[in-house]
Amino acid sequence: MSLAMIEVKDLVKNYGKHTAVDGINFRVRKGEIFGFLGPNGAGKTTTLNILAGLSLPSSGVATIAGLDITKHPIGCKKRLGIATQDANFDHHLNIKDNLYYQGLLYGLSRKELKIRVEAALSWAKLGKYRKKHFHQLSGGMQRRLVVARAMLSDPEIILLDEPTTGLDPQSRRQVWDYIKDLKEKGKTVLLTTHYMEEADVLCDRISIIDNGRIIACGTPDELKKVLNNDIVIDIALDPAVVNVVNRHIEKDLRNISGVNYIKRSDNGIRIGVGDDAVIEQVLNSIITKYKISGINIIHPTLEDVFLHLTGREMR
Amino acid sequence: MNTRAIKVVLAIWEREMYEYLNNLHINAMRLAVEPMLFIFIFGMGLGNRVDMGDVSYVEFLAPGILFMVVTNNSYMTTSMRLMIARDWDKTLVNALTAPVKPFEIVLGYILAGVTQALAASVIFILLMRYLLGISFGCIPWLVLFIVAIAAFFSSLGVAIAMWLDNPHHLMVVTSLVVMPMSFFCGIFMPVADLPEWMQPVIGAIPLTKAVEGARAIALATNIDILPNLAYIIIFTIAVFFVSVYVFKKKIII
Repeated sequence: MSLAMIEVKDLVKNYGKHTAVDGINFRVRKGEIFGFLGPNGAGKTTTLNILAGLSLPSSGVATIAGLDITKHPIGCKKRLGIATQDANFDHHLNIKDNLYYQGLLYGLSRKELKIRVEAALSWAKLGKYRKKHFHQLSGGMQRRLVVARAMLSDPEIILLDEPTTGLDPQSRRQVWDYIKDLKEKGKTVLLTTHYMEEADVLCDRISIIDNGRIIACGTPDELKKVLNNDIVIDIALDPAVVNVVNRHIEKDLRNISGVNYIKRSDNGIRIGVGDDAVIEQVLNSIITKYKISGINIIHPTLEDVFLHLTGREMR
Repeated sequence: MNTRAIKVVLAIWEREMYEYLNNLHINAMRLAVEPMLFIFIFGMGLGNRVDMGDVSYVEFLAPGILFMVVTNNSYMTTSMRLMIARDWDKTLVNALTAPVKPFEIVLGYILAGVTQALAASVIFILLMRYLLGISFGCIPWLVLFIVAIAAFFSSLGVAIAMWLDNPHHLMVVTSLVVMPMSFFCGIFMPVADLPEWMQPVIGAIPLTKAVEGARAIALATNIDILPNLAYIIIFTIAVFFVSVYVFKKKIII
């Protein structure tokens, strides 16, 4: 079993009578991007705050690189970089000074710190904005700056709390590239998000949390299989011959293993297959024999899994 | 305290001082104008009609105003800056995510408050000396009182800022607690002139002890100032621990 950089056992956090985190367990392995996916108020940020030392657990244990966060907060924080949900910077300092004074808290020498600040700004492609104040930056730049600040102490583990919330699609993808780069640098990343696509694209493994409990955990592909949902191939046929061709196609596909169902529709046929490998086989057997007017392949999404597990009511 | 803790305290202090120095033109104006207004209006205006015995009213007033300056510059700056860091900039969270202890953050803010109060005191003392020829006596003793009372009010500033959830309430506490202290703690008139029932209460406030001590130093009266200093230091230590407790209680939930 690979080394757990973050390990949480039976973690509980109560605020009075309200239980925000209700006995959760998970492990984050070295070098992976671990997603914490859940609706608003599910307990994602509370868990992150406990790991960051901003909140104390009511019970249970959380360790960072084997160190208990309540017993060794300083040792844990030395290994952590945190990108908070808010772009919280000192309004009166420019972004370079903001990074500099945050870095000073890590006990770095001034010479080393100046090099790291420049490296962080350059990594986030914000070098030419170093004299600007953070509110003069765009939303995407601000998020990059938050991640760059988390990188300043060169931590082994980076906690990212909803790093792309409120960003436009371009900025979001830009931040994704930076998160992927963190993984390439060998960092372990714990990411909270409520964007399914983000979790699907970035995360090696995902935990879905709802009402303070982890209700599913696995790779994105494993989670999609939770629903037993098939990949759906919708084939549109010539309306004049649809009824005849449908029957032939049904007969042809019956012998292909991995085809889970075949349903006729008004303008064609719908085929459910178990995995991607079967798609090519199915299409080859149809396209070479029959005239078709359209193909649509629908993969199950994390959103389907998420809604299935967490329900549809508003939080 | 280990090297890491000292570096953290100095880092917090340095950042607070960097901001202070960045706004030096504003701060300097406030530091020079505000206390001098009190000196001119009360000391030289109304003061001409006040009989204080062997000393002029300005000479009586100056040590008191000095400690009003110390109070404002330690309590107000610390509480305001901390509230901004917690509620407005939200940068207090950043500090807490670094390998630091709450105790070290509090100490950094208090150190900055003490430094700013000392800077304000130096400006006031120099203005009084060179504009009005007023002396404050033995400066090293005075500095001890300034540091002690600045640490007391900075700690109080931390405790109150962290205790209050609404920034507007800070103004209320300032108006109802800190400002009345300035009027009653012997700055403008001797505590002995207050109604008898008030005297023990006012006499127990550390600011009263500081003003009494500073006046004894400035006017070279025959009062033992050491008990006053010890009293302030004991209170300061107590309020410091209260401020760390409130800080931890409110910030790490």
